[in-house]
Amino acid sequence: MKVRIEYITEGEEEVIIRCKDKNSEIDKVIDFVENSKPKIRGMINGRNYLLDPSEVYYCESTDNVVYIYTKSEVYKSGYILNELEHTYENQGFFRCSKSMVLNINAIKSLRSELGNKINATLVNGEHVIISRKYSIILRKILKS
Amino acid sequence: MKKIMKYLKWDMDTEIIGCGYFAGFLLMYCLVNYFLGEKTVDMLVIIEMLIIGYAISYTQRFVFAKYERLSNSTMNKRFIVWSIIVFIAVLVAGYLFGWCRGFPWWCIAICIIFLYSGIYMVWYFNYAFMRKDSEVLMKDLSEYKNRINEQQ
Repeated sequence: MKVRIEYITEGEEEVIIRCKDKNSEIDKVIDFVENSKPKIRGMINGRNYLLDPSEVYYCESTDNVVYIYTKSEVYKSGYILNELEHTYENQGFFRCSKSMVLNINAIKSLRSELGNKINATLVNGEHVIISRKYSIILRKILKS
Repeated sequence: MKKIMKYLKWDMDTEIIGCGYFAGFLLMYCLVNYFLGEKTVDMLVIIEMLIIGYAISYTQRFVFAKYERLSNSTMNKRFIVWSIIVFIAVLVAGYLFGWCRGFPWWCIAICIIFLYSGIYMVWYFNYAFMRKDSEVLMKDLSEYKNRINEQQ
């Protein structure tokens, strides 16, 4: 298999595979490329798990420990919220309060509230109230 | 601690609304008195208006508690109930505290219509704005998700 690299100055980086047929070698390359996305480490009962950022609904800091909430599990993590917010901002993570980072992709609906607050309903039905300060940031992110 | 903070936030929002009602009552009262040649307002009347403003605000918060989960028809029903409560509360308070003592009858009628339409308009435009804003937010959210999906 020939490997060719094209350097670009602008636009998004991408991997294009040109092949006659999809075989095991190509599958390995696809697996490698897809799994090279940064994963989030979480822990339940001493066991470590690697989570895809898209699985995460939100991360909340309680007593200086960050918990990661997914559809059915709550993972303990060693991250700090700032780290999660900045590492995964391209995956839709944003700081929605002092103690929470929310995945925008996990939001089902948004509703404006009195005092310029936003009520976010997540896909699991939970409600998160985003205060005026953070709602300004969310509006900017959605428009950007 | 979290519960206390939550309550304090709720209370602060309620107080802001209450102050809005209070300012509206007082402004109206001052204007009418001014046109009738009176240039002072009794401290007791100010306190009474403040109490009524807060009472209306707390009633509003209870009637519309968790309104984001209510359907449009439930919201409309609750608004009708709430507006009747407010109308009666203002009338009874005005009569009991003698806010309109010495006013000509047409002046009282104008005051009631003005106050009531004021309350209705504040409520209506507030919620109309929030509904419009929610639509914009939903549109932006949908576009954002489409962009993210295209990138991935």
